Amino acid sequence: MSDVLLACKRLTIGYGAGPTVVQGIDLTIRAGECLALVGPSGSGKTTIARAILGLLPPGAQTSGSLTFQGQDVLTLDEAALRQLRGRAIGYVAQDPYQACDPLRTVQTHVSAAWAVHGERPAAGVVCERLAQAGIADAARAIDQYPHQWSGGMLQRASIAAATAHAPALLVADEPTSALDTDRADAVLATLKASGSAVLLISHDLGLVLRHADRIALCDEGRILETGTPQALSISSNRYVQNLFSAVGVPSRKGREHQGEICLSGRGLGMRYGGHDAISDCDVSVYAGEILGITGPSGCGKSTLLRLLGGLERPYAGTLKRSVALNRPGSIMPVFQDPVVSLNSRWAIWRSLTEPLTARHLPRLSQKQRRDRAAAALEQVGLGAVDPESLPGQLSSGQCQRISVARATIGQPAIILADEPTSALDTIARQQVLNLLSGAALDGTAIVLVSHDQHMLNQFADRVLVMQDGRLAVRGPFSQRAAVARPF
Amino acid sequence: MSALDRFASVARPPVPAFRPNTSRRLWPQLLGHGGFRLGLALCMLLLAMAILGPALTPFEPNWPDYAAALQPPGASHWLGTDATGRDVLSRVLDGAHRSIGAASLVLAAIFGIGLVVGTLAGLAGGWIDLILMRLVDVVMTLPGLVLAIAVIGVLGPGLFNLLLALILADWAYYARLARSLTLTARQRPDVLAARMAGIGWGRILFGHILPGVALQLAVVATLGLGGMIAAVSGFSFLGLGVQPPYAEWGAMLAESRFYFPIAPWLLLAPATLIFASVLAANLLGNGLRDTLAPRGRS
Amino acid sequence: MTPGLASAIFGRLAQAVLTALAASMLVWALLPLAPGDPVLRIFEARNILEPNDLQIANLRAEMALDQPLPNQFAHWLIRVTQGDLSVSYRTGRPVLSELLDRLPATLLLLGSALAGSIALSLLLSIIAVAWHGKWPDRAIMLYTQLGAALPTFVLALLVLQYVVVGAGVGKVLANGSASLVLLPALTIAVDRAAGWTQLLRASLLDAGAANHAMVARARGATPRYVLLRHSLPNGIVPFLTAIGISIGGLIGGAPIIEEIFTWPGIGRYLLQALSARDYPVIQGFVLISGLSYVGASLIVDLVTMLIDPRLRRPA
Repeated sequence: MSDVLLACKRLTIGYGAGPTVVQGIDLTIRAGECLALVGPSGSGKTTIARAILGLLPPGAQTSGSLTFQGQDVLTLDEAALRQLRGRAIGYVAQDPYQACDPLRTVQTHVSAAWAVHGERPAAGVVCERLAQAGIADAARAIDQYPHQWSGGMLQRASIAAATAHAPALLVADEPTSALDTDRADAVLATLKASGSAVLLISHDLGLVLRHADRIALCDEGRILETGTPQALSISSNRYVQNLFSAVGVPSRKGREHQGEICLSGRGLGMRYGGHDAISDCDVSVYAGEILGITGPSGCGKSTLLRLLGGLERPYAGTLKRSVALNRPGSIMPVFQDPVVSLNSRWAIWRSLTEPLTARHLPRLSQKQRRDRAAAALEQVGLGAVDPESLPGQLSSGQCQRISVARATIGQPAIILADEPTSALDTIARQQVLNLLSGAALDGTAIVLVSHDQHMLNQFADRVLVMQDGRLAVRGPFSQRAAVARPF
Repeated sequence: MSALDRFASVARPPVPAFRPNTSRRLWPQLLGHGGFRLGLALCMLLLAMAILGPALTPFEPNWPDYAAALQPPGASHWLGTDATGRDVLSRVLDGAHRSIGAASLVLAAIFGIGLVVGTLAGLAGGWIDLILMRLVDVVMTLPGLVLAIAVIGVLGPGLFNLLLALILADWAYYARLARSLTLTARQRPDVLAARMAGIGWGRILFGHILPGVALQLAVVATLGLGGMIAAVSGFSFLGLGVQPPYAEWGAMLAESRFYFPIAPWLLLAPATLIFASVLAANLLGNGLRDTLAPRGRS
Repeated sequence: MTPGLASAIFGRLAQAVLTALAASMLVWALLPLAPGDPVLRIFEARNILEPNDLQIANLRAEMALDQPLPNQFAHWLIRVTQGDLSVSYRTGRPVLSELLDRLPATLLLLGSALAGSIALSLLLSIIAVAWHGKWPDRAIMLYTQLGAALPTFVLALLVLQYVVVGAGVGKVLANGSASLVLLPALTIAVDRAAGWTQLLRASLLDAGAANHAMVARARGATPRYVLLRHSLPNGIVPFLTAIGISIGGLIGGAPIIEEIFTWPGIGRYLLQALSARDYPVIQGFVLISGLSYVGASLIVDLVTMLIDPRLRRPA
């Protein structure tokens, strides 16, 4: 298993006068291994993947070498590259729905793997491959359109198409970021079971640690370090150490909650257009606890959060608030997309202190607001950020920390956080979770919706699982998991 | 609603999808856009012409001088004269404010009506929304140009009636656009956070919702300006807009059209100006769109 | 045909009927809003210059003008569905037959213009995308910029001046026959195709930059395969929608083109009616335009529904 399949030597890629996206990387992939390329967004991962496929955008300038099975991909002509693509190098894209032509059936999508090379798959082969990729009932569902399939199943179908010609190398660009954790693990297992070498591109170090044979960490177009997970975990590189310590989640297990119920909903239901988004949900939120809610996308998590936050009236059931929640601003949100969470035209101090300007609060002068903003920025570790900057000038991690600061600045009783970390890289995710954990210690209840069950299991005091608009308890994640239905 | 109503209409361009972090530093980006610079320069020139034009006319634009009829461009009449000896340059200068001014006035009115009606419907919801939007639906069942023809047919020709007809023809499109932009803005995270913090609707409207909606609608109006200029001059060409003897570029084309074979300058001067103003408006609009909502090329 | 498709088609048909109804309400409202007494104008048209009170009352009752407005509308709608669009104030002849006489010429002109602009914009945008960023693309972009800035009627005047009079191609006075349709139709087509080419080129490029196109390329597909199998079907949906809607623009633009090319269609007839304040004819023209617009959008929506499975959910 030590024969080298693909080797990059001092590979550099840039665009015209613009910045160099990839700066002299060295990388080898051996036959049959799973090499993960991990780094934050904008670190050049996707450019490397496109270079391997010979699909760099027009105008890209390259130097160094990129050898695959003894041929330098950078110098091959288009016809030779087409023979490599699909046959020797398979490709799995990030979002399975976007990877499929929405106008054509899944059958067409999979059999196109042959059709683009002017071949026709033998009868039944497509179904057989789909079954191998773990799709039960393939014969029936194959004539449906992509939007009728679930994301996990569709990604497996894409993998079946990518491995149609048993390629020696599979390039998988964030193949699981659109999926929840359970499905992500299953999809990665399918990928590795194909027998090809896998170049797994991901920003999620935690996921990669469970699956990759070797890991290459990259940032700003350079490879920082390459090695097995064990070797990297004892690396002496500061950045790598930081990264690895951020993989874990600030654990809160065993912390006794002392709070009383501040918000409780019974039999909550919500309908949109004659369709039940959620029904019969019983939830209680205790002061100072972290309540996790998880479930597949579309299960109604966000709808439940909107009801709890008072943004919509429940269609059925009742919502009881404690006295502390009667003032406006006592429940504050944190959203998934950090950049649009803040008003894009306002300097961040304005967004940050907006909750302090609510009608029921004493009026603050601009000077007072700026001072409060500076103090709040200091608290979330952004003391160096200019309060006059606009959200578009900050990183998404910084924006999300400002969102958390906005949520906490009015000392709310509850923070409702909807996937607050899913758009963030490993280190930013850690920072946001720390802030939320700190808020909980101050007595604020956190309701944390996430599809990342591994994270919730460690971070939340109890976890509710949502399925098809209904809540169920799954545990025991902690002693108090049983308290999910206290009434 | 389809984003493509512009093809049915007087001036209903599709709304561009803005990228989320539109920054305040717009001017440097806009001025870096070659097309926008050209459009801006042309626009300045034409605006100056519309404002100063009537004062700069070398001859009285509406006075016939039969002795000087159909003179080709020369030293005394730079752009020649028409069949009754009126100076083409004077008429072109005098007509600028009618052609460009009318179109801008119509779009400004449509922008205002659309913004008020649309944000009102989007924010109020309930029966106000229902009534306003049913009205919009009914008005939009007819293509804009056809509706404008119908209104002129009822009111009779004339510049004022033409303005009214063009406003009636297209306000509904802008109202519907503003409403859907408002509904989207209502669900934006920063608006939700402000609501949960207890900020009043008035401040949410003026702080969060209106600036974005107005900017987007203004870009759409700019994209529609070219079509509107074409419509004003087209209707005037048919004799349904500016009435003789007053000069307007479309009307000038109509009154001299039978002399074109022997006096082509009567065609070229107004045609070039109509072309230049539509081009300037299009360049401005496209520049704004490209800068604020660049097409995604991942 | 799946049940989803059937119910989606049914829903769209019902919507078209509602739209047509709303449009006819708007069209009907023109007449009560118009100044002057329609009854007196009709007598004028019949050369009865001083009708007596009984005659007036009878005609008023016949046209239901003595009843409240909703009843008037119902009465008008029933008459219209029976093909009675009242009589022209000028000629005294039934409006419907006057319009039907001139409709074939307009259909010929607009139909060939439509076909020409579809063909032209398809051709140009495929060339532009296939040579994206190279000189054919730039030349086509320049054409679209200039074409979009030149109103159709100005282009038509230029064509008349420099092609017909200057170069002696075609005739100044057209008679509406198929042999003379080429020049006016081509003029409209060249002008319309500018906007459509911009649109189709952009949506083809968008579809070509979509992830599924990248996946197809990564599997070894040729650029041609991606363009024809993926970009074209995906990019054509907004194009078709634009065509459907632009039927309205074509009809609205008919009067001015027919006037310039002296084309004997309903557009030119409308202009005569406009100057004579012949309201029933104006109303008839608006009604026919509105209904064609509704019909065209319906056809286009049904076609896009067949192309794109995601549109087949009942609205």
